[in-house]
Amino acid sequence: MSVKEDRMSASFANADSLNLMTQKHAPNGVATECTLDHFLRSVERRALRHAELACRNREDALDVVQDAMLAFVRRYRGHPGEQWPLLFWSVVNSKLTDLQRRRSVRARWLGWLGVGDEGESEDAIQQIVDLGEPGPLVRLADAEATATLLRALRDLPLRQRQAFLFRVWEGLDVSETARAMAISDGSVKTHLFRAMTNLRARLEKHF
Amino acid sequence: MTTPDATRNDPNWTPRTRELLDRHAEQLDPVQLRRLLQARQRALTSVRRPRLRLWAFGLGAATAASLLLFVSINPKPDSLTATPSGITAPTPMTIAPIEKALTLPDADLALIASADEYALLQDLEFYAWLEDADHEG
Repeated sequence: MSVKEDRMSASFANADSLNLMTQKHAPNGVATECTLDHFLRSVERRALRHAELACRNREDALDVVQDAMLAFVRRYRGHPGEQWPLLFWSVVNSKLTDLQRRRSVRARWLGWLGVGDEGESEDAIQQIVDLGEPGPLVRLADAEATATLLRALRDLPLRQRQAFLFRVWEGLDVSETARAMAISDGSVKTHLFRAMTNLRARLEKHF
Repeated sequence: MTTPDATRNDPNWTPRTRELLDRHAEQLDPVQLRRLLQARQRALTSVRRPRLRLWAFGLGAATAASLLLFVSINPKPDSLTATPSGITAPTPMTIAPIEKALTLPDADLALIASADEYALLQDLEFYAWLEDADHEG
């Protein structure tokens, strides 16, 4: 079973939901809402982790996920269920790109006005989960590898990270990743290649 | 020349990464989970709201249509004056009150026009007293 199929079956463990999802349009509003709820529940945790890696701020990450859910439900709930994962990740990517653009504009203005945002940077860094501290994750055997992986992912440029996460974690193929990121297939391959090269260098001893 | 798909060259690398990320995603704290639940419910409620609005609009339209239908098949205003017992209510006044006040009956007009009769009218109270005095006397 491919990663994508695995994700789909995990998203819709309930057979009735899967049947509803594969219909072109849900027969009635109640079914749509139930199916949407199943789908969103299946992707929300991973979406939050995606956003946390990009935002480096838990509140911003939650806002991004909420905005993405709202936009997805409003725009794409009528689309066939098979398309939902791709459309949802496309919305998430769009929200993250918007956030990064707003941040860069704000940073440029603050720099121009001579107002440093060092305080905010410190706050943002403080809000990153320190995986080195004792906690449930540290008690796991792979804690160190996970912490290193997350740090390495945070350090990647947005597009490289998104290409890696969509392609490797979400199991989207190259063309789907390209559609989700609104770039060409060739660009996806380039971003992915660079991401893999960076990650391999940093995680060599753990993998 | 395009870059080859990098994931094909790392068969052992990607499943391991995926496994670690999956595990990490499952380890959200209760506060985050509650916030995610709220976000999801808010998104789903946004679908419900337009339906409610549509329902309210439909109800309003149906009420308006019913009223319109009632008015259109309503009996004429004349028949409203007839009571079930057969007694007919007075015909509604068609002359405006001011116009009626300014219009005098013909008899009153003739009385005012005749100077003799007008003087008699002024002494009417005296003649009435005189008549009463005669009866008592």
